[in-house]
Amino acid sequence: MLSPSLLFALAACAGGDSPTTAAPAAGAGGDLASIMTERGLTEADVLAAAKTFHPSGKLDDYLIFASGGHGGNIVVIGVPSMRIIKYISVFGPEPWQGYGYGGLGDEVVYEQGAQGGKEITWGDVHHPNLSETGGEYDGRYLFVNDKANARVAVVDLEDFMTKQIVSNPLVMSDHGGAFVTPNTEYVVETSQYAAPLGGAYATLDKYKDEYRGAAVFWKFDKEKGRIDPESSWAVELPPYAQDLADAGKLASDGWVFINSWDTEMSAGTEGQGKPYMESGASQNDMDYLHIIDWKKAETLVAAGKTRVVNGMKVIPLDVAAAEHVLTFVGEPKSPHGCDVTPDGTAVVVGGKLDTHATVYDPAKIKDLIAKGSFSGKDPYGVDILDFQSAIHGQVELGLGPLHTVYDDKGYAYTSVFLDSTVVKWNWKNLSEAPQALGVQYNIGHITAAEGDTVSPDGKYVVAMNKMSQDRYVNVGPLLPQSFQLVDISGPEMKVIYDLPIPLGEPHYAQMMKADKLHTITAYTPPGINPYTDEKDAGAVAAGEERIVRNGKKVDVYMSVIRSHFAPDHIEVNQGDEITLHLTSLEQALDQTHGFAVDMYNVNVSMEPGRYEEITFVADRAGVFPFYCTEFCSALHLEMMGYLLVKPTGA
Amino acid sequence: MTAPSTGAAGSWETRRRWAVVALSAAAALCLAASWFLPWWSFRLFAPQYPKGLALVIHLTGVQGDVAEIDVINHYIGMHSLADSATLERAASHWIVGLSAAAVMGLALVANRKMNWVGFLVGLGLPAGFVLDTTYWMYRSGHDLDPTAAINMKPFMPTVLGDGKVGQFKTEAWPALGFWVAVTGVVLLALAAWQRSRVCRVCPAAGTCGKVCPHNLVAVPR
Repeated sequence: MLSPSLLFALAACAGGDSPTTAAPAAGAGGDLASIMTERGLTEADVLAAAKTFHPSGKLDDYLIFASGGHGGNIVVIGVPSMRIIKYISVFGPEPWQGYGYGGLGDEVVYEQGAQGGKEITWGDVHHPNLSETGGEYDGRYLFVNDKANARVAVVDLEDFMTKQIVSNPLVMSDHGGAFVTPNTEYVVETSQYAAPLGGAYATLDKYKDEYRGAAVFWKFDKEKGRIDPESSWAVELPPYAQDLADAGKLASDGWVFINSWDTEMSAGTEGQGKPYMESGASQNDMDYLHIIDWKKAETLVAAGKTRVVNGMKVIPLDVAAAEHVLTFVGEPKSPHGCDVTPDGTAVVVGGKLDTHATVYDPAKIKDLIAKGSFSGKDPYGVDILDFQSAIHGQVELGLGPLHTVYDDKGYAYTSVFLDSTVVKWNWKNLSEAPQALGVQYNIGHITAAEGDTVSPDGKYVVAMNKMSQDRYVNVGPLLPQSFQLVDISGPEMKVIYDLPIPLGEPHYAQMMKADKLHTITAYTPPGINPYTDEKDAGAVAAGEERIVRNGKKVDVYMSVIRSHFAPDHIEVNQGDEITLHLTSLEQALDQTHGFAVDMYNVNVSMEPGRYEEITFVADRAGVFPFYCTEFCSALHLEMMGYLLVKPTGA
Repeated sequence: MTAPSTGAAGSWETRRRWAVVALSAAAALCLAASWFLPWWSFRLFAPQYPKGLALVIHLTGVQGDVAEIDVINHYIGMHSLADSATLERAASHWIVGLSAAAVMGLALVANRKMNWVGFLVGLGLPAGFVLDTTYWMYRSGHDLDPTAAINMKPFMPTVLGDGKVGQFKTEAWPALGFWVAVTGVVLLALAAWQRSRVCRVCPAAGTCGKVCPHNLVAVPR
């Protein structure tokens, strides 16, 4: 235990003073002991504060990239301060980032994001995954999936912007994504709720025959920083409600492991007096862990052993089964997490409806498949491995074990939902007694410092709690979710910070060392189109600004710099199609402008050096101010201009 | 045997003559090298620029946070940095090249009367630079656009040491190129000093014409 006097010394050292000068100040706000008394703080509280408090200007060691759930975004959080630093909008328009309000981002959010010909302006972001090189986060890209509309997005970490959305042409919802292979060869997206592939129609009595799942392997082009849909392919899966997934690494590289929870093939109640899905899918004691040999699958794709469904190459289920691209092994009842250990020698599956975490041994799995030693076949002809022969063992962790992350000392940390605990256990020595830490409340996922890499850092784990209940001031029946930072550096785990998540419902997160980032401060030279990473043909230098009229088409080449737009008068006729080509001539750190046209639903963000292009029809006549929406400078309010739309016939 | 002492004296005399040439050549090299180096360095600090802004003056132009400084300056109506000293910058390679060539040429041909001309040519570069820079700084602080957003009384920016303009604290110091040029000037002073001793004992002393008849190094017998 720390004595108050030692705490004085700590506080004094942190302030850069010698302990002798830390004389208590008079009155409130004075010495530590009286503040502790006044605020009811324990020594442990003060220690926790010392571990997390960041004086102004001190930067965080790690960044969390948390999914924003049906907020459709990504939340970027600093660790250990637990300050929210940024939201990255992904699947929905967001005006602060000027994403989806007339600028170049419209193409990503509305056109690329369209699914099955329908414009969709929200997403249910579940599992962010950072790009990897050699099994380590390389700080270059972030991938996220949209469970609701079966899409995957690519976020470029050079400028923290969503650069691409690909829409899955096969399945109607996804869950096991976006997971990357150790060198980001593929971004894996696996279906959740089964449906006829390619958006086809079939009644629910044909569930077993027509409904399917699929694991899509999106090919990632690291040079271009984009997914290449042409080179992507999929493996057809039975309608088992596939769930979380992970790619093997090191010893298990070349494999992907995917959970499932509806091998009962319950499709709910439709017409047959059957139970709801919640019971129907929970009848069997075992579901199947899917084992996909993706390197072998690549050879089948190359050999043309695929059929094309809605434009995508698919390895048919019977081929996948016969070639052992797909093999099953039993897993306890409706599991959730499926997490490969840092060295790749084990896969941990959380029981959810079973109190155990099961540790699978990929070496045993490989050996059983190679020897052709199977204990049965499922109705679709997929070979099933014997459960006991494929596992290293099982550990009882409590009620509702879900997701597992790892530290650098051989321990696993599993979120246990119903018990609301983080359980620390030894995944190699299963007889070591697990240690539980209560968290508030209903922990879903969990993330650890560099936790999904081949070399986790330990230090921190974050409990991602589904409910906050009484943790914060009641702000209405819709309450925020809650993240709790857990210090795992000592022998006992300790909660040292609570962070409400005020926008979004995080499902999963990854925590990366902040110094792995190579984020830019400006687009250089000015005029870079962030979606092509090249200087745009429409960009202008100072002095080149102009308005070009061609019939009813008006092109405005405008520069943007403190504190004016040039030109600042635009005169058009009602019905003209206007294209604004905006170039920020700024290069200074944090010198962002906005550009909004009143009444025309136009607003873009002009980061230093950025090029933007806005096309709209001037269908409403009148006088419309346009102005800078970022408080850029002392003369920010003066940074404006006029769009004059002359009425037809005037 | 008087030969050794005469020889030694002759040898020292020859060495001194070569020393003048070597010092002048080194000086010419310093002047030429300075053209490639930064001559003057300004730093500007303000609350919103905690790391400061840098402006580095080369003989050929300005470098550093030029665009940003121009943006700030335009609020008070200062002209763009690119509009300053355009002639001097365009001619800088001629000015430096000819100065270095003159210094080298003078080293070989200067007579007693012209002894300090090379030094003065060399001195002209840093002195001229300081005067010219001061002039342009004066201009930039005085030729203010009357339509600018912020009306400022004309002012003289601080060219050396610490200054203050608006919310900016400024620092201005000579940079490497200036010091290299000054080194050249010092070398030229040393060369002139040595030449004055050469000329004093030169057999041709008092009879030399407009230029040194011996190309300095050819010791007259």
